[in-house]
Amino acid sequence: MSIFKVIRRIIAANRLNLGIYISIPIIIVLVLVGQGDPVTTQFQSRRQKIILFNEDQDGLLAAELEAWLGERHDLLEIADNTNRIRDALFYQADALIRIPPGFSAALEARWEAESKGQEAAADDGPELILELGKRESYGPERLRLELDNWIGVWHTSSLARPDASFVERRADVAAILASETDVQIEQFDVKALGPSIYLYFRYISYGMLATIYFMLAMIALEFNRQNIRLRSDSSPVPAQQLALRILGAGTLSALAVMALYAIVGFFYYGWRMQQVQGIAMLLNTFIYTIVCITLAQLLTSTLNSRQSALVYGIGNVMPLVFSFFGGVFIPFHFLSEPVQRLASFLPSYWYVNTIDVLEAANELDTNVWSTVARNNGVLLLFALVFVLATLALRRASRTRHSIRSHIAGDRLT
Amino acid sequence: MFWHFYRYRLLANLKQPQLVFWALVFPLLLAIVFQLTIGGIQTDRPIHAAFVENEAFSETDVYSRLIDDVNAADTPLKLRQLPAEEARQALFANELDGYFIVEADSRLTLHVMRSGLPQSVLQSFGTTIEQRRAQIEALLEGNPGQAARLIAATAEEELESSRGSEKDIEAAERVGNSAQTVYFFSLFGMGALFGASFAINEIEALEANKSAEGRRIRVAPLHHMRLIGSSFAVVLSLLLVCQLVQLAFIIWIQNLVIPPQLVPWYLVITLAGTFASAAIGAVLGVFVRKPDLAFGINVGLSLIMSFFAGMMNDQVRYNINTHFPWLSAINPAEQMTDALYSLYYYEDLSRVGRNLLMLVAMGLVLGTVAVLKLRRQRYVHL
Repeated sequence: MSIFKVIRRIIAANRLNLGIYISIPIIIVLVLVGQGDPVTTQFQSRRQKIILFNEDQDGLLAAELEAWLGERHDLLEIADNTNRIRDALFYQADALIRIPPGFSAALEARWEAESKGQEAAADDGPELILELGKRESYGPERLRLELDNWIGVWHTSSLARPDASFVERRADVAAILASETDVQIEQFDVKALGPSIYLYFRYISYGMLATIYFMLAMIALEFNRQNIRLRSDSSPVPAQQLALRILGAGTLSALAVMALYAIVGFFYYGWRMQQVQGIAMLLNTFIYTIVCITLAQLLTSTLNSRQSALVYGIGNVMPLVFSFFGGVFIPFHFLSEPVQRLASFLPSYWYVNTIDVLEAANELDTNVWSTVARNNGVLLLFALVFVLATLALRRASRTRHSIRSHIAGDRLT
Repeated sequence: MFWHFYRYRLLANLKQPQLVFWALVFPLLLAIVFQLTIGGIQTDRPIHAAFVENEAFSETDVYSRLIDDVNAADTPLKLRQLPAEEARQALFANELDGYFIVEADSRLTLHVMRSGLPQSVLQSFGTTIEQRRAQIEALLEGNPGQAARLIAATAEEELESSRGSEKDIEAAERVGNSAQTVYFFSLFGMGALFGASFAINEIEALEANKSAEGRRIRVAPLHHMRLIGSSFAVVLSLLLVCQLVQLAFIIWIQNLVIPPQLVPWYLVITLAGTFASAAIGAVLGVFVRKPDLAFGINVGLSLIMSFFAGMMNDQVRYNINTHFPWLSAINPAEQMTDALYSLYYYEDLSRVGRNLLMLVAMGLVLGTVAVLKLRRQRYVHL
């Protein structure tokens, strides 16, 4: 029991650091994703983010274009200011569309000339200005396709009925534009959970590894201090029993970290956590926690009290490397092939792979479960390797320690 | 005496590996990790789709010609034709983003696995085909002769509108394919903040209640301000070297092309960031009694400020800038990131000037506070 008290004090003394690592993934997920991803089985066309400046205020076609774009996409309200527009195009908007003054009149005049068989001038009026954003490459392509289609439909309609009024042509165009390709989602056999819960499980692997490593490193630093070690060696409690108690207390504390993440998950995602995928991910997280504990034990088994700087170095670099290469922060298919091959040597890869498989599965068949079982098996193998390596390191360290004690004893006598 | 003290403190700092690790090695390691991961990101993955080979598809060669034309054009769409079951299997295996079935009445139905942008592009593609087909069919019913002329005219119009669309895209073109570079800029900001550890270490060495060295220095017959100045010069030199190495590494690893006339601006940004970071470290060192706690707070603050500067997600940076501009204004990592972003992507010197002003102001205010506090330090006993 006294070991637990000591460990509780060590954790309390380092609560600031541990708190930061526990809360970072939770904050990231809650800020970025939240629980607001509705689960639907209906296809929902993605709405592009467009900055629209309609400078052709009196133009009927311009007004039609604005209304049509507004129905299909999200029009962002951005001040017509260079910095704002640049930032929005870089970070948020798919494109900027500027309808210049006189756009409608110029188009109408050109189509009227064409319908009378006259040659349209090469540069006979202002044209739409489309600035492409940096967000996703498909967005601007899609807008270009849709804008060309919209202009084409109006153009054809104007040429087909040159004598019709604008209202009549608008009705024709509206009828054409109303028809859209039907989209059917191939039905999932399992209940879809929405992407944010998967993101949550990915991100907590970063926090868990960092927190568990720091926690066990702090405990190791304290118990490996020379004066504490001498006291432990001279105490009536056998060394092995003491080591087991420290290990048990550290493991329980690490499992408490996992439990905390699970509780936050249940609180935040409710029924999603109780679905079969949610439970499978919890099990996956539990196994990954064991890997984190064994890895942390391995890395902290030979620490001495002068190596606190090393602890901070490893504690910050290792979880980031595991997360970046394992596909936690960046979807795995974005990574280059050599990085993907390298990543398979990290436990985080197998942890994230299970989440990816569960997210992508359209039915939870034997293929999915065998992949999940294989990944969990690989994780347990990692844990076993770490345990064996820790035992070997400890044995070597104990031998060195006993030789030193022996020499010191000889000197005393 | 100034330079004597400078030399000793320089060596003392360099002999502390954890300081060099945080200020130099850690950001370089992260830069390598970034390069290996996000450096190779390909956002222009093609959208794969198929047309199912059924009776309606085979009735006409329109769709097979459409597939050839689309594949030959410079678009992200890659189309093919497949038997129904193969298309379904390919969709389930994530080899296809969707497949079209030409129905008996010539309407298209798109089959997908999920709602997403590639699927929405496919829907827009199918809709375009359908709408133009419907319009042309209506025309053919009314006046077949006019229909052929109109089809030719509108095809030409589409080309024209596309050309018009591409007129003014220089700003976006300038950004090129290096949108990920902004992550490296925020990493650079983080490196500067981590470097504040040098200042914390220097304050520890100067303060009599924090180290034995401080006690020895305080009882020496030396002008205190000269010691503070010397320490500050040490911090600035070390931080500047670390930052310049990081900048050079980022330029090399990202293969950035920097016009020679802008090089001095990069140096000025580095210097201003260094100055602000040194001042932050000094304030932390002065006001937080335990140096270890000050280091911890500095690491935590650096991570949080880099997070707000978009190091882990660029949307965070944009949202903070849009909704909490005051938070961006007081965040040195963001000011450094923004200065480099404005300079690299847009060569906007006025915005860079504002960022520099903020960094220098932060450095001056915090540096003055730290110096005032150091000056007024009195000890009851040592």
